[in-house]
Amino acid sequence: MEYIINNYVSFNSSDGTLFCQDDSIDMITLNRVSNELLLLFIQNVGVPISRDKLLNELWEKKGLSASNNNLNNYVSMLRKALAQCGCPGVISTIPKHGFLFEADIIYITPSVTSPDVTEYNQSPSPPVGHKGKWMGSGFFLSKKIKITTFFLVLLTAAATAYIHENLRLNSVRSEIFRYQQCRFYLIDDMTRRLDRGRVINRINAIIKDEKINCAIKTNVYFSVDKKKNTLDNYVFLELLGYCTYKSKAPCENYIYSRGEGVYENKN
Amino acid sequence: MKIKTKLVVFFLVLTACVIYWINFHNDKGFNCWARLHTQGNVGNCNGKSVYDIFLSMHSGGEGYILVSGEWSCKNSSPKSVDGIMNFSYIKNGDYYSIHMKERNPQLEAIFRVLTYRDIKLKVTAINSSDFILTLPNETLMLCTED
Repeated sequence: MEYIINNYVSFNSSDGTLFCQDDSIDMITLNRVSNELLLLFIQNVGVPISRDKLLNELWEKKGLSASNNNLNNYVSMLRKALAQCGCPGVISTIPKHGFLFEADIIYITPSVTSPDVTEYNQSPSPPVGHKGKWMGSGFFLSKKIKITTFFLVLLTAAATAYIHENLRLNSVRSEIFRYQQCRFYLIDDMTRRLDRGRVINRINAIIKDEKINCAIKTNVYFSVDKKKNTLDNYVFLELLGYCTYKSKAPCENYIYSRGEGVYENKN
Repeated sequence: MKIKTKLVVFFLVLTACVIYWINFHNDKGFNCWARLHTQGNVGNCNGKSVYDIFLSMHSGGEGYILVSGEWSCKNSSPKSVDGIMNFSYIKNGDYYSIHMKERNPQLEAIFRVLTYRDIKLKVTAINSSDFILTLPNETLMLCTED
C-alpha cells in the first residue's frame, strides 16, 4: 500500500519506506513499530487515537508488553522522520488521551489490481471523519505523467517541425552573402555550381542597375539557367527575385538574358 | 484505461488532427502574385517589359493566370497588355499538370511560358508567404501568396 502525505511524502507501508517527492533527501526506512504506527495514524487521520488503542494495536495484540515510554519514543522517532521529509507537525499530542494525526492523504492502490477509480470505489471506504483525499488508481502519478507526456509531445512536435522546415529550406535555398538588410540566396544547383565570385559580381551589378533597396529586410533569390539557343550558342537566363520579408507586396522578378562570357570563359 | 492505451489514443487523435490540418490547407487552393521585369527578347523585338502575374489555383482543379502590364521595343512607345488565361490542373507528385484552356497571343508574347498548352509546375515554399514556381527545366519566378 502506498500513500502520499500532504502531496509531498510518499509512504510505502509494505516496506516501511518514506520518500520525498522532490528527492531532497534519501529514502528513510522506518522500523516495524514506527511503520505500523504511521499506518495506524493514516488509517485514523483526523481522528484522535488513545494511547491505550495504540499500545494494544502495536504490542499487546502481538503478545508483547508495552509502556507509555516506549510509545513516546516511537512517536518521537516518527515525528523526526516525517519532519526530515518536510512534514513537521502532523502528529499532535492530546494531553491525557493520546495523539492526533492531521494531514492530506492520497491512497494509491496498486495499478494491477485496481486499474481505475470505479474499481477502487468498491473497496472499503475510509473511516468516518477522515480528512484525507482517497483517490483512484495511480491518480497522482498518472496526472504527472499525463502532463509531462503532453508537454513532451508538444515539444517534440515543435522541434521536429522546426528541424524539418530548416532542413527543407536549406535544401531549397542556400545563403551566399548579405548586404545591408538583404539576404541573398541561390535557389538551384545549376547556380550553386557556377563560380561563386562571378555570381556575386553579377548580383551586385543587378542590384546597382535596378536600384534595389536593401534598407528594408528582404530576401533576394538568384537563379541562373544555361540554355542553348538556335544559333548553337549558350545563353544564361538569370532570375533575381526580390521578396520583402513578411510583406504582402509581390516578389519583384528581374529576368535577364546574358551571353556565355558572364559566368564562364570562352574556350 | 491504462496509461499505454491512453497514450495510443492521444497519438491517434494527434495524427488525425495533423492529417486534417494538412488536408484543410491543401484544399483551400493557392493564390500568388508576382511582378516580372524582363529585358531582351520581348514580343518580336529587343525591348523591356514590366507586368504583374496573378496565379490562382482553386481547390476544384480549375484556375487562371491574370497578366497585366506593358512592354516596349527600343525607341518605341510602350504598349499595354492584359488578359486572363483559364486552365485546369491536377497534381502529379511534386508537380501540378496544368492544361491551358485557351490561347492569347498577346499574353504569350510577353510571358513565354503561356505558349505551351501543357505545363508542369512545381510550387515550393521558401518562407511563410513566398514561393518559387519552377518548370522541370527552369525557374519561372518567385511569387508572394495572396
